[in-house]
Amino acid sequence: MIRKNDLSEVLFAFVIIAFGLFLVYSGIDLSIGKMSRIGPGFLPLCLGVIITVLGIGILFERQEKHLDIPPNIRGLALITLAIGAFAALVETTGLFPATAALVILTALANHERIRPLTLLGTIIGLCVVGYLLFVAALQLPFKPISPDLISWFTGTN
Amino acid sequence: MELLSNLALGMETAFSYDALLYCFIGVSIGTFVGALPGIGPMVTISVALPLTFGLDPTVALIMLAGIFYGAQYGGSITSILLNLPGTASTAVTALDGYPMTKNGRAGLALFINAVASFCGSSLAVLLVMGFAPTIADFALGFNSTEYFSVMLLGLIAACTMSNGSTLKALVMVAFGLVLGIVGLDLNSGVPRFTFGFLGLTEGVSLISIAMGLFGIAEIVTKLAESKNGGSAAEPKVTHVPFRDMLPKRDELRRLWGPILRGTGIGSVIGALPGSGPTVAAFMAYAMEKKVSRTPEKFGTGALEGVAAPEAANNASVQAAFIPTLSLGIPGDVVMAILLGAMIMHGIIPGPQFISAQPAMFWGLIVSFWIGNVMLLILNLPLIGLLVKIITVPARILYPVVIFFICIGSYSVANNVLDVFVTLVFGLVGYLLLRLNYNAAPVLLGFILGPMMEENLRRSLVISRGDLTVFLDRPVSVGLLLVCLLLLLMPLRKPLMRYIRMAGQR
Amino acid sequence: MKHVFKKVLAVAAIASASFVGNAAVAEYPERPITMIVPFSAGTSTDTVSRLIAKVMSDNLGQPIVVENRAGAGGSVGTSEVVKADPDGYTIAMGTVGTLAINKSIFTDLPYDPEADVTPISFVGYTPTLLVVGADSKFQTLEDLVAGSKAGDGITFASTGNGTSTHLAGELLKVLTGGQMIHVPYKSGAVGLAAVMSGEVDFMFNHPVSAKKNVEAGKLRALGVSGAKGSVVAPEVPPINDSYDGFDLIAWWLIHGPANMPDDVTNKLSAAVTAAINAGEVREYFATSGITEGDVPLDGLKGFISAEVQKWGGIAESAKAKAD
Repeated sequence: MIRKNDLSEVLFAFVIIAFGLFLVYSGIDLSIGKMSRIGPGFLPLCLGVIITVLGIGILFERQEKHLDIPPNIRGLALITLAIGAFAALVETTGLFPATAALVILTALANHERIRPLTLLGTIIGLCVVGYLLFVAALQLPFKPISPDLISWFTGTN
Repeated sequence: MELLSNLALGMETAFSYDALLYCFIGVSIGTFVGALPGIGPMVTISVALPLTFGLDPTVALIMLAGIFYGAQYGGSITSILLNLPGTASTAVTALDGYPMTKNGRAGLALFINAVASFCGSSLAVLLVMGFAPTIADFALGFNSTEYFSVMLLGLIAACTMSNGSTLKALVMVAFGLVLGIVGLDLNSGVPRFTFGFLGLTEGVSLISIAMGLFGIAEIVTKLAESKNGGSAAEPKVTHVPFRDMLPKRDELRRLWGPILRGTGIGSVIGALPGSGPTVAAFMAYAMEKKVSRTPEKFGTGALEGVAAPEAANNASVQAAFIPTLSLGIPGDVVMAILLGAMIMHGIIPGPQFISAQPAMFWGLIVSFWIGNVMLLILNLPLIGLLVKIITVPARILYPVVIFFICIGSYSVANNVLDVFVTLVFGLVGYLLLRLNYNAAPVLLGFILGPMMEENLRRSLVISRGDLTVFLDRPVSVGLLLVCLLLLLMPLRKPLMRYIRMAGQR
Repeated sequence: MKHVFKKVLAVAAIASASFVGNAAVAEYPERPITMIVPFSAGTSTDTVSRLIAKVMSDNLGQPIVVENRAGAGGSVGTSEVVKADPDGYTIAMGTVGTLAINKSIFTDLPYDPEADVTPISFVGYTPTLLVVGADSKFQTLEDLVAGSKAGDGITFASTGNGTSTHLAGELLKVLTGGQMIHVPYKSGAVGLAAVMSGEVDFMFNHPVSAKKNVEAGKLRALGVSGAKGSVVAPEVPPINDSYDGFDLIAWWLIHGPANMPDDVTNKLSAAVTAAINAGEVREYFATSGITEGDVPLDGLKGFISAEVQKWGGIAESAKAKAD
């Protein structure tokens, strides 16, 4: 366990160093400019150097104690899917289907059991709140259900 | 004497039935939308603006302003209860507010939030009343070298913000600075790190970063805890008796300093055009940690860590009216919208606004006070109700919170790209949490970085590349000296030891 | 579970279908129109759009929903409009930025303002004022130009690289041959503050906020960017009088995607014209220094092309390429 953590710390330090080097490269690419007109690449370059040095420092730093909870890959994956699905659906199929997808996927991420009726209640509740609050009151440009989806469903053109 | 007659005039305006009613509507709406993650005063004011057409201009302005400062109260609620900043400026409040919730002291945190907000606002209103034109002239005199020095000071203070590894904290600040670079470069117009996305040309939204790094990362962690049979650290609060909400006597005594210092910082930063409540809150927090005798308690639920930034962000919001009303120069986007509202009502603020429209100016000022009293009265009884949010079972709470996070990030620019950006920061936030990196300094780097770069480059363009420009003006020199002092502080002890040893020899 | 969900969706679908109506062609407009504003809420473009949209929808009998799609100097929102169906249900508020300047500033602009747009109606325009701080040593435009030719030259503030306020300064530099150094700011307000304090020498700024400070003795106006002068500050001479060829205005123009049917365009155009002549819009235009449009519908294509040319020329000479 402790070993694995050390490994991930070391790997992450390398990620930091790589990120720093990437910044140095982009900084030079963006042009550094001159003293009377500093270019857009000046700050990225400076930060790149600093981050690279800090990354090397962290590589040799003694690590503190760690969380001993194993990583929650399943939760992370499902929350990612939930948010991704909402983002992908909200403008294409409308607010309601996107909300339903988000609630179902988030519920799956949780290990607590949830009754189908509670789930449905949450979906309907959020759709109603979402519509009244965000569409009717705050005028966000959502359609409750996209007209394209409706015509696809009813089979008409 | 003149002040008294002005105040009387203001009261006459602000205590009219309509003014009171719309002030109440404004602050209530403000608190509510402020509490919604990601939805801020900006979208609300622009939607409410056309609805105020039929109203008397003063009343309309009283209501719109109420939405603005009311949102600062509401924004802290979700920061404290769910680690989910409702508005960007309250992200700082989460640093100690959320640990307080974890320690079972959510009621007290909300109480401190309300009281500190109230004190910060009210004191800042006094400043606006007495010295608006003077402060405006002072703020106007601030040039780019001084802006740069202030931002540098804030950044150096930020590096001392988190406990634990200094190297890791520095990496996080630098990461924040990098995020601040994303977008079209103001000076050259060149896109930086936008990876071809048009939606990124105006930069990453602070809301996305804050909700991703804190909100989403926290939920994913919590989901893992519930799998392991729930966390023992999580108290099941079902009922908060009123006295648990109140600070103990010694705690109360500890709060005055942070509130007053926070108000001071907030008033100064707020009056500077271009900064804003978020910078004010961070500076106040960093300063409080610097002067504290127990800096190690910050981040674990220190009362001062809630009081100072809350006083600061509310004070800065009130002070932000100074340049807007006395010069017609809006310090930030929300102020620009309010200025637009005034123009729509046929009033153009400028240096003569206060003398030309005394009833409106003083009516507005008095309404700030009334509004803050209303907010206090509105917020205190709500605390008991609000803490119940954390007793909602996770299976219902989490979908609801994720839903609000998604819509909140979308609403910033009505762009789905922002939802994906929030998601990416959620993943990064979870990774950082697991590897013991404190994400809070990222936010400060992100906020201060662009302003620092902008003013550095501006100073050098104006001075034609002469670096000594930073030493030309006393304020800039003073601020830079403070920076140097902060940097040398950690070296003090070893240096003293060295001197002593040298003396012995 | 899934079954129940499907049922709910179907019910909702039928319910919303009744709003939307059939695709059968009836009298335009038969459903709400979306007006995309390519800048964020609260900007001057947003305010103008919301006001016009409100009056227009009273005339057309259908709501006009204003959607803010900000980003990349208005390119994000505008590129969305040009991709929409040209049925008159998606229109946009175009500006001198989205329909003229952006073409020469962004090399990979996802639309062509000359080919991908159906102009509907001109809305209005406003020139800018060239202002200096009250303590400035420059009393007249001639002083300013003389100052720019001496020593280190002078500085001017703008609202960012490639914006109209930047290009106006560059044009002055080209026409006078002086040394004028560009200092960009995040917003016009902050730039104006720098001019007041004397940190920067001059700036082209929106006439209304500048004028108030001129009256209060904090600023001095030395010239107007438009050849016809400004309604807000008629006493200030146009720069064009001293330097021929200096005629820059900020304008607003409502447009849709390319290939809109003529009858729809005409109907919308008439509605915009009626809106501009309505009392509340006139009043707003007067306080905010906007002059109502004077370009007829059939002249709009030519107007856009001319503006693209004009700003492109300035951007070229200023090398204000923003890739």
